[in-house]
Amino acid sequence: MSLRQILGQEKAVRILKGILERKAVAHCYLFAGEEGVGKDLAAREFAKALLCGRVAGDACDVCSACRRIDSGQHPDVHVMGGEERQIKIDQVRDLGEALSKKSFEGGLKVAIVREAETMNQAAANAFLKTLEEPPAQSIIILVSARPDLLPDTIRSRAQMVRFYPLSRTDLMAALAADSALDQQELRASLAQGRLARALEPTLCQSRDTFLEGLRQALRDTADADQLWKDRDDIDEWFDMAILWLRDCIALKASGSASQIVNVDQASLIEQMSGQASLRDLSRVLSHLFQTRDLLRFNLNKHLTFQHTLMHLKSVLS
Amino acid sequence: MSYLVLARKWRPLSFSELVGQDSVVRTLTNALEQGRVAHAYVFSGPRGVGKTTTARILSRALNCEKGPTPTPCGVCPACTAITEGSAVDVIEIDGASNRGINEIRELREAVRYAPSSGKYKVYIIDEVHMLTKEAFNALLKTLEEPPAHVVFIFATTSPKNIPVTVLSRCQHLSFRRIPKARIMEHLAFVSEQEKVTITPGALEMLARVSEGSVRDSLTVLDQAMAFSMDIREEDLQAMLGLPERGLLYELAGLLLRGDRAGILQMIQNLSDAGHDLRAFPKELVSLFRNLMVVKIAERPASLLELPEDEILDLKALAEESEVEELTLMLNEFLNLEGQIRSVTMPRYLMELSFIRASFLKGSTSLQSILDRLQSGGGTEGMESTPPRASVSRTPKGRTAGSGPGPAQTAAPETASEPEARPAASPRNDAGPQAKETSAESLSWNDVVRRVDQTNHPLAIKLSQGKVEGTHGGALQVAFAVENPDFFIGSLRRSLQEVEKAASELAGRKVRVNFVAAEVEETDRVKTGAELRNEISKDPIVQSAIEIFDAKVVDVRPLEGLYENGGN
Amino acid sequence: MKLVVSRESLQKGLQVVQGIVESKSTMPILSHILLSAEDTTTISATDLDIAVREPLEARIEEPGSVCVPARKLYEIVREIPAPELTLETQENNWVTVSAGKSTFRLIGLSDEDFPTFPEVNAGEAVEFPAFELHDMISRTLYATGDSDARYTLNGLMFHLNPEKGTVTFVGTDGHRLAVARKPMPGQIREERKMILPKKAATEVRKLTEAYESPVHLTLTPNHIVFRFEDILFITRLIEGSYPNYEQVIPKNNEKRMTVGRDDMLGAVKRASLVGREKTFPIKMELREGAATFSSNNPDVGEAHEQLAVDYGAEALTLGFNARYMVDALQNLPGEEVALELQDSLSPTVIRQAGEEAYFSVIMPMRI
Repeated sequence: MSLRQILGQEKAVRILKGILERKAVAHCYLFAGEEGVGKDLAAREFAKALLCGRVAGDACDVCSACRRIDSGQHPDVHVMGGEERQIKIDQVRDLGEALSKKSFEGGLKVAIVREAETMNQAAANAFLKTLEEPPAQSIIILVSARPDLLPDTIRSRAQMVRFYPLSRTDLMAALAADSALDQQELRASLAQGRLARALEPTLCQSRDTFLEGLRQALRDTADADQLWKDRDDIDEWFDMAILWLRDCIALKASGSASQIVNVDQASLIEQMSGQASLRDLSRVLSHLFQTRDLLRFNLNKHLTFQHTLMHLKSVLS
Repeated sequence: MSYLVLARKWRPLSFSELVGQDSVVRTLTNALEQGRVAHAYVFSGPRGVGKTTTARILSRALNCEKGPTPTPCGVCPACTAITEGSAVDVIEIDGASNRGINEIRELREAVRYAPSSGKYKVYIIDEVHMLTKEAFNALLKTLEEPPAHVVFIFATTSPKNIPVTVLSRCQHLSFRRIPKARIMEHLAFVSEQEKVTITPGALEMLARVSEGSVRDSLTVLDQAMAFSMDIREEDLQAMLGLPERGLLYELAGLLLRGDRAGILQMIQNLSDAGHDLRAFPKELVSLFRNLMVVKIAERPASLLELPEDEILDLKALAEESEVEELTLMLNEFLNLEGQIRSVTMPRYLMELSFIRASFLKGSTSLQSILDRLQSGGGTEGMESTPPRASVSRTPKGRTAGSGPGPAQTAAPETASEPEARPAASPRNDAGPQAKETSAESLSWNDVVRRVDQTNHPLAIKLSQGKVEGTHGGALQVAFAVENPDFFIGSLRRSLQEVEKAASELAGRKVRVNFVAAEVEETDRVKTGAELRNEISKDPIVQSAIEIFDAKVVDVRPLEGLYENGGN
Repeated sequence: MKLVVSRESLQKGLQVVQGIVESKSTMPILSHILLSAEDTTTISATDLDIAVREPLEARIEEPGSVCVPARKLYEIVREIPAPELTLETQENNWVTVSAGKSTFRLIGLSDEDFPTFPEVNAGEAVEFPAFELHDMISRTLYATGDSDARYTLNGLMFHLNPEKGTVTFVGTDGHRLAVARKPMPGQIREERKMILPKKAATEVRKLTEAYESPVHLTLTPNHIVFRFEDILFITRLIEGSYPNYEQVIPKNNEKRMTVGRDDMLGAVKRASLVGREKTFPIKMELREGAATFSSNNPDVGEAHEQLAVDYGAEALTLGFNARYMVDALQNLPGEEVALELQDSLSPTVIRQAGEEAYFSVIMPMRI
C-alpha cells in the first residue's frame, strides 16, 4: 500500500500528497470521515510517507521504515486508541512523554490517535497543550469517524482532512476485484460507501441472520438472548432494523423498489409492511433511532427488546 | 519538513496585536500602567479567541526587563524565554491533568518560592474548570492570602464551572467571540503576508465557519493553503465539505413541493456520489432559517447579510410555502442537526427527517386550522364568540396560545391526544340547554368558565352538565354520565365553590343542585366507542387527524360551539 | 547465522541488557535482543529511550543476524549445564539453541524489525575521564525535576561551550538549580546544549563506576553515544529548550557567609526535624558571626539551632526548603561551603568555598 493506492479518496490523497510535496507538514491533522472509508489506512500510509527512507512524497512500501510501520514496529510511530471503549488520561500522558524525546531514528515522530472521539474528557483536555504546541519534530494525526463529538478545543487545533464515503462506482469496482464476494449489488447497497463494510465476508449473511431473527421475533419465537449475544450484536441488530424500516418507508413513499437498499427483498418488504401507514412507519423508525442512540448507556437488554418489538409489531407483520 | 502553522506563527506577542479583545486589552494595560495588577485573573471565553495568548503577553508585560509595562520589549532574555516556553517563572499548567487536590497542594507549596530571575511568578492554569471541588477549595486558601510576586491566570472555556468563592477572589475578564468583520480583516492581513490570494467570498466563508474564533479561522486558512495558494470560494466549499447551494435548494424545493419520491431519489444520488451527508443538516437549518426570514421580514436584506441575487432565489423558493410549515421544518432540521452527529448511518436519519418534514407540508397556524374546522363544521356566527374563549377551556386551547405548541405537534405521539379534542365536538346533544339557561338569564357556560379561572379540573366536570330549569329556587343541573352517583357525589363536595361563582355572576344569591340526567338510549351509545368511531369518519375530523397525526380519544361537548350553534 | 559461544560470556552479555529489555511493551520487538554476527558479534537491546550494544565473544560459523526473545534466551542460558552453546537461525526467523543434550527452538524476529541505531560516527566527539563524568552527573542529577508538564526539566542539561571552553551539567526543578562546570577536554566546533533524560543519566553514572578508561562521546543531533571501552550506550535526548540557567545564577550577591559543610548540614537537618513533611520550611537568621536555623510546626513544636559562622554583613533572615538545602550541602565537595546572599527573597548561591566548579542556587521561600 501507499497513499496513491488508497481507493476512492482522491481529494484527501491529493491534499496529503500536496503537503508532502511542499514539505509543509503541520503538527496536527484530523482525518475525519465515516467508518471504513480508509482513514486509518491513510494515517498509516501518511506516516510511512513522512518517514520513508527512499522516496519523497509517498511511501515506497519496501524500505525498512515502511515495512516496520506496517508491522507496528517503528520506534518513532506511536499509535494510540481504537482498542478500548475509551482513551484515558494516562495514555495521553504517555504519548506526550514519548513525543518529548527526540526521534529515535533521526526523522519525524508520528503519533496516530485512532477513534480520537473516544478520548474521555480528562484525556482530551490533557491533550490540548500537546496538540497546540507539540515538542519539535512531532506530527499528530487524529482519526475520527465522529469528529463532531470531539471537543471544539481539539478540533480548532487540528487541520481537518476529510474522507468521504466511497461512490457507488468506486465500491463496485473494489468489489469486482474480489470474485469471492457474493451478492455484490447488495453489498454495495448495504455498505453505504464504507469500503471496509462492503468487503466484510459475512455482510450478506449477517443481514439474512438479522432478517430471520426479526421474523421469528415478530412471531414471538425468538427472544433477546437468542438474538443478542453481546453489546456489539445489539448495535449491529439496530443498524439492520433501522435499515429495514427505512426500506419499508422508501417503498411506501416512492412507490417503487428502486429506492430500496435491501435490493433483493422488495417483495418481503412489501409483504411485511403493506398494512402500515407511512406515518406509523416513520414513528417507529424514529423510535429505533432513539433507542439506537441510547445504547451508549447500559440499557436493560430484555426491556429494550420488548419495547422495540412492541413498536415493530405495530407496523410489521 | 514540519512547518509552523499560522495559528502559532501569527500568535500575537503584544497587546496591540491581539485581535478583537479591546476591552480586555484596555483593562490589562490600565492595570499595568497604574501598577494595579490583580493577583488572580479568570480569563473566560470560547476556544481560540486569545486567552492563553493574552496570559503569555501579560507574563511578558510583568517580567520584561523594562517591566512591568504594557509594552514588553519582546527581545530581552525574560521576554524570549517566555515566548519559547522555557521561562522558569512562568508556569503553564493544564488544569485537566492536574486537577486533583494533591497537585493543587503542590502548587500551594510552590508559590511560596520567590521568583528566580523574573519579577513575578506567573501561574497560567488552562481549563481550570476541570479542577475537582477539593482542589478548588485548596486553591481558595492561596487566593485568600495571595503571595506578593505571584500572579495567577486561570483560563477556561467554561467559567460557570468555577466556584463562586474562587471567582469572587479573581478579576474576571471575559473574552468575546470575535466579530466576523474583524476576523476577515485579520485573515486578509495574514493572507497578504503569506502571499496567498483569496477571494472576498472565500474570506467571508472562512470567517463564517470559524464562528468567532481566530485560531479556527487560521487553522482553516492553513488547510486551504495546503490545497492551493490561490483560494476561491468553490474550492474552499469543497475542502470544507460544505454542500453546494444548488443541491440544498433542490432538496428544499422537493420538500416544499411534497415530493417524497424525489427526495429519496436525490438523497440516494448524493449518497452514491460519495457526499458527506453529515454536513447537510447544518446548512439546511441555515437555509430554512433564511427562507423563514424572507417570508416574514419586509426587508430581509438587513437581516441576512446575503447578496441580492441569493435573496431573490430565497424568495422564489419561499413563494409557495407558509411561514408555519417553514418554521416546523426548520425545527425538524434543528433536531436532525443534533442527532446526525452520533448515528452510524447518516443517510437513513436524513431520509427519515425529510419524510417527517414532508408531513408538515401544508401546515398552517393552529388558529387557522381551528377556524377552518369550526366553520367547516357548519357553525355559523363564529365571529360573535371570541376565539380565545372557545378554546380556553380545554388543554388544546392552551397549546394554541403558546409559542412552542405547533412545533410540538411535529413529534408524532406527544401532541396527538389534546389536539384531537376540538374535532370531537358533538353538536347534536345540547340543544335544549341553551334555552334553559337563557330563561334563567344565567349562562351555565359562564358559570363553568368562571370556575375554570380557579379550578380547572372542576370546570371540566361541570362542563358536562345541562341546566334543566329551577327547582325549589335552585338551579337544577343534570349530568348524563356513566356512574352518576359517584360523579355527582364528588361534585357536591365543591357545591359551595360553584354556587359562589354562580352568585357572583348573577349578582344575587344562587343555589345549585346537581342531579343525574334521565338518559336516552341513543345518548348512552354515543358516549362510548361508537361515538368516537362515528366522529372519526367526519371529513373535517379526518383532516385534523391527518394534520396533527392524532387520534380521537374522547368526545365531549364544546360549550362555545354549542351556545352559538344551538341558537 | 550460526554462532558458537561460551555459556559464561553469553550469560554475562545478556545480564547487561536484561534491565533494558522491556517485556510489557506494546512493541514486540522491544522484548528482543538483536544478535548480530558480521565481522564481530554484538548484542543490542533498546527500550527506545536508551540502547546498548556490546560485543560478544563468539565463533562465527555463518554470518548473519536475528532478533531473539531476550528473557527466554537468558533463562535457557542460565539453566544449561554445558559450557558451550550453538545458536543457529532457521527459516522464518526460528532460532535453534543447542548445548550438549539440550535443544531449544525459539521464535525469533527478523533483524530488519529492530530499530535502526544512529550512526555511531555521525557527529562531533569528545572524551571525558570516567570519574569526572561521574562526578559532574552525581552532583547535579539530584536537582532535576519530575513533572508531567515540563519535560525539559526532567532531564539533565549537558552544555558544551567551545567559546568559554567549558562543559557544564545543570539540573533544575524550577526552584533550585545545581551546576557542575569544568574546562572542556578536547575541542568541539559548535556549541551544544543537550538535555539528557534522567534515566539515561542514571545509567551513564552506573557505567562510569564500572569502567575506568576515558568515556568517548559522539554527539548526534538526536542522541549521545557513550562508548565505554567496547560497550556502546546510546541515549535519545529530550526535545525543547531548556531554561536559560545563566540567567538564574545571581551575579551580584555580595553578602557572604562561610561555614563548615558538615556543621551546617547537621544544623539544618536537626532544625527541620519538627518541620512539615513536604517542604520542610526552615528559617535562617544571619547576624555577625552567627547563624540560627529554626522551624516550627503548630502540630509538633519548635526547633532552634545555633551555629557559629563567618559572616560580616548586615543581619538577614531568609526562609528555605530544608530538603533543598540538605541536598545542596550533601552534593557539594570539600569541607567548607560559602553562601552568597542578597536579600530575603533573592536567589541564594551555595558553593564549595573558593571553588567555581560546583555550586547550587536555591530560591528562598516565604516563611
